[in-house]
Amino acid sequence: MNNGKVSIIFLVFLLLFPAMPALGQESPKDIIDRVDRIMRGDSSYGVAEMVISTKRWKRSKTIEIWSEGTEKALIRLLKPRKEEGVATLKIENDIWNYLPKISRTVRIPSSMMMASWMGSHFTNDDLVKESRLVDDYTIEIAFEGEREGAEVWEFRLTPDPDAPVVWGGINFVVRKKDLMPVKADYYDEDGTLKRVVTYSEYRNMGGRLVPAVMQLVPADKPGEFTKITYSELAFNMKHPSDTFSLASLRNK
Amino acid sequence: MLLLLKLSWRNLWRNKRRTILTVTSVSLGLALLLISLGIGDGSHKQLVDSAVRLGSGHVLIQAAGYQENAEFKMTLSGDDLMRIGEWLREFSANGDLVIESSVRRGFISGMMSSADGASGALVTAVEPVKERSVSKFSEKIVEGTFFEGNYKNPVVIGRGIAEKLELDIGDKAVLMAQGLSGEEIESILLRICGIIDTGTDELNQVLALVTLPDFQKGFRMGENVHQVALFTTDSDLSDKLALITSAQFPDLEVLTWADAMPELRDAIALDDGFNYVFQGTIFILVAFTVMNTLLMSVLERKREFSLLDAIGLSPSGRFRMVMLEAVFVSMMAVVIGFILGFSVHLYLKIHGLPLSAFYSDDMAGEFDFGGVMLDPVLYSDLSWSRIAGSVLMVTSITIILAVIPAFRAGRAGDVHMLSGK
Amino acid sequence: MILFKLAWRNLWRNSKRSWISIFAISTAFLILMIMSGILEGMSVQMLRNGTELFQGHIQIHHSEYLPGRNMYDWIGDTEEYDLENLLEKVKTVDGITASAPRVYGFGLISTGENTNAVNLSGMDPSREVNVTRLLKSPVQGNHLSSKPQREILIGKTLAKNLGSSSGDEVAIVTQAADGTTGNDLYRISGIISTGLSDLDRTLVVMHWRDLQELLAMEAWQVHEIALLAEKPREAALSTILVNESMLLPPESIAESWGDLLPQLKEYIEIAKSSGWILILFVGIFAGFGTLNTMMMSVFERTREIGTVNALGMAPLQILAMFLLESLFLSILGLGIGFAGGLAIMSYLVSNGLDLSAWVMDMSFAGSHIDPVMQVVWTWNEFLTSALSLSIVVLIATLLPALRAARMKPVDALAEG
Repeated sequence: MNNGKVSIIFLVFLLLFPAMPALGQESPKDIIDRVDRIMRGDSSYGVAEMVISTKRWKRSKTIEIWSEGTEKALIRLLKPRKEEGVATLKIENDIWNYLPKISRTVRIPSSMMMASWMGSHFTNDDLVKESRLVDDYTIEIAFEGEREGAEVWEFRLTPDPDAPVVWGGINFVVRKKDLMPVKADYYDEDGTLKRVVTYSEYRNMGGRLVPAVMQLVPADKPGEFTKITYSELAFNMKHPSDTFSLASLRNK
Repeated sequence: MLLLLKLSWRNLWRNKRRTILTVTSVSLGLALLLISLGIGDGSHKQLVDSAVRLGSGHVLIQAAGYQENAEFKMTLSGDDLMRIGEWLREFSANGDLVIESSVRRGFISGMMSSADGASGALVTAVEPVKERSVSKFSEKIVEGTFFEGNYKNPVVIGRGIAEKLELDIGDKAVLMAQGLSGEEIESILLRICGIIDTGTDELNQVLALVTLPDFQKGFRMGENVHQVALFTTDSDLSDKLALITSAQFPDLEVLTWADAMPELRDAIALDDGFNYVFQGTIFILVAFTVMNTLLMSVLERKREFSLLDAIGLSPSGRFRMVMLEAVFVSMMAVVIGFILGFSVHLYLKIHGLPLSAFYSDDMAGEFDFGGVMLDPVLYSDLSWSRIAGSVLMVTSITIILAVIPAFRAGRAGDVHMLSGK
Repeated sequence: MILFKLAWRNLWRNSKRSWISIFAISTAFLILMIMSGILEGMSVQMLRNGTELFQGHIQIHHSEYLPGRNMYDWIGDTEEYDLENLLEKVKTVDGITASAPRVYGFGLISTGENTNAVNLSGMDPSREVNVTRLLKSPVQGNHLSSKPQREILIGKTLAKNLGSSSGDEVAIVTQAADGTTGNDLYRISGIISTGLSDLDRTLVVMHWRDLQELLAMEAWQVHEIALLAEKPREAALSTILVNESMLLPPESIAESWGDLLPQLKEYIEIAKSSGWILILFVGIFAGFGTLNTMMMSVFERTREIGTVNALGMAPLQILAMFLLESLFLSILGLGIGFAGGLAIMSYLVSNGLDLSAWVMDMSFAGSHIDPVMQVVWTWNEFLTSALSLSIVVLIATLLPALRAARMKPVDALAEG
C-alpha cells in the first residue's frame, strides 16, 4: 500500500515539520519516524498556486486543499475559470475526480493511476501512495555537514526488498537547525536520477515554520516543472465529518 | 470374366508406355493430394498446438460467464477445485482419452510501472512447475529463467514491456490492479526473473506471468483461481474431452481451445477453405489427365477393338474390358501414389518443411498467424481418414471417367473399321 | 511453307487426338490463370481487410508522432498551415483518390457507475467513409452524423463493460492540450462491431471537431491524414510521390501500409509463398498432364513417322514438322484456354469466389474477412503460365519426335 513516489499529500505534510530542535542522539530512523508520526493524524487546510510548465504550455492553477491524516484529502481548483470547481477526492487508495461542467464524478481506474494528475507532473498514483518512509525504507545518514551554507543531514533512503515502490533510492536532505526539508532526489535501481523535489521559502504559516514552495523537476524532461506555492495554511482544525465524501466532492 | 481380366491386364502391358504414363500421372496426382493435405493439416495442428501450449489448454474450466465477462470476481472456489481434483483423480483413461495434465491459472489486467514508465499488463498467474511441463512458455524465455531464480514475487514479462519500462533481470516493477475486494487497488512489488518473447508483438507488450500463490496472496483471493486448463494427448480429442467435462460440471463453464480462441478457429477454417480450392484443382486435373489418356488410348485402338469384335467380343465385353483396364490403372496408381505421397509425408513429418526456404525476407524466428505464433518449420500431419478419402476419390474418379472411353470402345468395333487405320 | 501446310494438315488428319491435346493445354492454362488470380486476390483481400477497416493505405503524420503518439506531435507542429487545402491537394497526387483527417486522444469514459480507459478517435464522417470502412461497419443504433453534435460510436465490448446502450449519455475526461482537464458529455449514437477484439474493447469514435474541442486543439491541428490509394499494392509508390509533392508541412511524413503494418506485410508474404507452393503443385501436375497427353499422341504416331521417313523426308524436316505441330497446338490450346480463362475470370473478378458454403463470417490474422474470395487479374502470371506450358508442349513433342526421327523406317513401321 506504500509507495515512495512523491506524494502530494506527503509533500503537503512535509510542510508541517515542526520547528523542533535537532536532537543529536536520535537515529536517522527516529528522526524520520518522528516526522512521519507528526504527519499522521494531523489535519490541515491550505490554499496554493500550482504552476505547471511543460515544453508546450505554462499554466497556473489555484488549489484549495483539505486533509485528514494520511488517508483522506480533498483538493479543489479555484482557478483558472475553465477548471473552476474541478475537484479530487482521495480516500485511502482510491481517487475520484469531480467535473462541474458536466456535473459528473469519475473514479480513476487502475489503468490510469500512472497518468498525470490535473496536467501536473504528479501522477494520480503520487496522490494515492502514502509514503510511510519508516515502513518502506531503510534509512541511514549518508552525509552530515554543511551544504550551501546550512548544516544538513543527507539521508539515504533504500526501499525494503518487499516494498511496492519503483524507486531504487531517495536522497533526502533535511536542514539540521529546524528540520526543514531541502531537497529530495529520486533514483531508479540503476542509480539514474529520475526526479528532483526542492523546498524553499521557509515561512511561518498556521503557526509553524514551513517551506512555502515546493518544486518538482522530472529529470528526463528538461525545462519542465511543477511548482506549488502556499499562500495560506492552517493546522489541526476539525473538519466536518462529511468533508471527505462523494457528496461534498460535488457540493463543497 | 477371368478371360476378360487377363485380356485387360495384357492390354495394359502391350502398350507399356501409355500405361506407365497414365499410372504415373494418376499416382502423382494422388501423391500431391496427400502431400498438400498433410502440410495443410500439419500446419493447422501446429497452430493449435502452439496456441494451446501458450497460455491456453485443450479444455478450459472456468466459472460460468467468465469467458464473456472476464470479471475478476468470477472465480472457481476451493470447493469447485476440490470437485475437479477428485474427478481428475478418478478419471480413468476413457478409450484413447487421457488427461495428461491440469493446471490452475489466475488472470488480472492492471498497470505495471517502473521508475521509467508504466504499461498496461495482462497478468496470468501460473503454477510454474506444472506449467513448464505442459506449456511452451519456458521455451520462449529469451533472458533469465521461467521462475527458477531465487526472487521473491518473481515475474516473467513480455519483451515489449521490458523494453518500454527499461527492465532487466533482477529489476523491480510495481503491479497495480483491482483485486477481489473489488474496491481497492492493490500494489505488488515484483522482481523480473525472466523476459519472454512469444513471437507476437501484441502479446509481448502486455504479457506478464506471476506465480499462482503470489497472485492469490496479492489480490486476496484465498485459494480461488480463474481457470483450470486440461491437457490431453491430441488437440483432436478436445471436443470429446470437453463433452465429458461439461457433463460432469454443468454449473461451470467448459470450453475447448476453439471456443476460447474463436479467431484462431476462424483463421484455420479460412485457410482450409483456400486449401480446398487448391486441392479441388489438383483433383480436377487428375480427372482431366485420366480422361485424356484413356480417351486417347481408346482412339488409337479402334483397329484392335474391331479385331476383338470380329473374333466375337461383344460391345459390353469391350466396355467391361476397358473399365477393367481403368480399374487396374487406378489400383496401380493408388499403390504407387500412396507410397510416394506417404513417404514424402513421413519425411515432412519427421524432418519438416522449412518455410524460410519459400521467401527471401530475412524474417528470422517465428511467424504470426491469426495472432498465434507459428514455427518456421512445418510438419506434415495426415490422418488415415484423409488418406482413405483421397484414395477413394482418386479411384472413383478414375473409374467414373473411364466410362466415356469404355463406352466408345464398345461402339467403336464395327468390322469394317478393320480396313481403316 | 510446305512444312507449315503439312504440319497443319497433320493436325486435322486425326482431329480427335489434336483436340484432346488442345483440351489438355487449354485446361492447364485456364486453371493456372484462375489459381493465380485467386491467390493474388487473396493477398489483395488480406491487404484490404488489414488496411481498409481503419488504417487507410497511406498515412501522413508528424515525423515523431509514431510510435509514442504524443498529443502535441500533430501535423505541422507549431506552424499553422492550410489543412483544407492539403486535404484537397493531396488527392491530386497520382494514385491517391481520397483523404481524411484524424485526431487522436486517450481518456476515460464514464457512465458514473463504470469507468474505462479508452482511445479517442476523431474523424470526419463525410470524408472518412471514402477512405475506410470503419464508419460503414455494422452499427447498433446510428452512425455519426456529418455535423459535430457530441455523438460518439463505441465498441461492442466497451459498451458491454460500461453497461451502456445507444442513446445513453456518457462523460469523457481527458488531458487537454492546454494543460486543463478536458471533459464533456456525449450521447452514444451507435455501438460498433469491428470484429477485432482489441478495437471493440477500446474504441471511441467522435466527430473530429468535437474531439479537437475536447482536447483544446486548433482546427488545423490533426494527428493523421489517411489516404486511399487507387492501387493498394502500389501504395508505396504513391507514398513517395506524396512525400515529394512539396504539399506536406515541414516535419511531416507519409508512410504506406507496408511501413505502418509490417506484420500485415509478413502475413501476406507468407500466405503468398504457401499459395505459390500449391500453385507450383498444380503447375507441375498440369504440365505433367499436358506432357503425358502430348507424348502419348506423338508415340502413337511412330508408325506414321516411319512412313514419312521411308518416303524420304529428312530427320530434320520431320523434327521441324513436329515442332510446327506443337506450335500450332500451343497456340490453339493457349488461345482457347485464354478465352475460357477470360470468361471465367471476368465472372470471378466481378463476383468473387463464394466460399460461404465452407466457412462463416470470420476474422483472419486480426483482420475481418469476407467469406467471398476476391479474384484479380494477374497478367504477368498468365504470361508465365503460357510460356511454361509452351515449353512443356515443346518438350513433350521433342522427346518422342527425336526418337522417332532417328529410328530406321523399318523399326518405326514395325513398332506401330
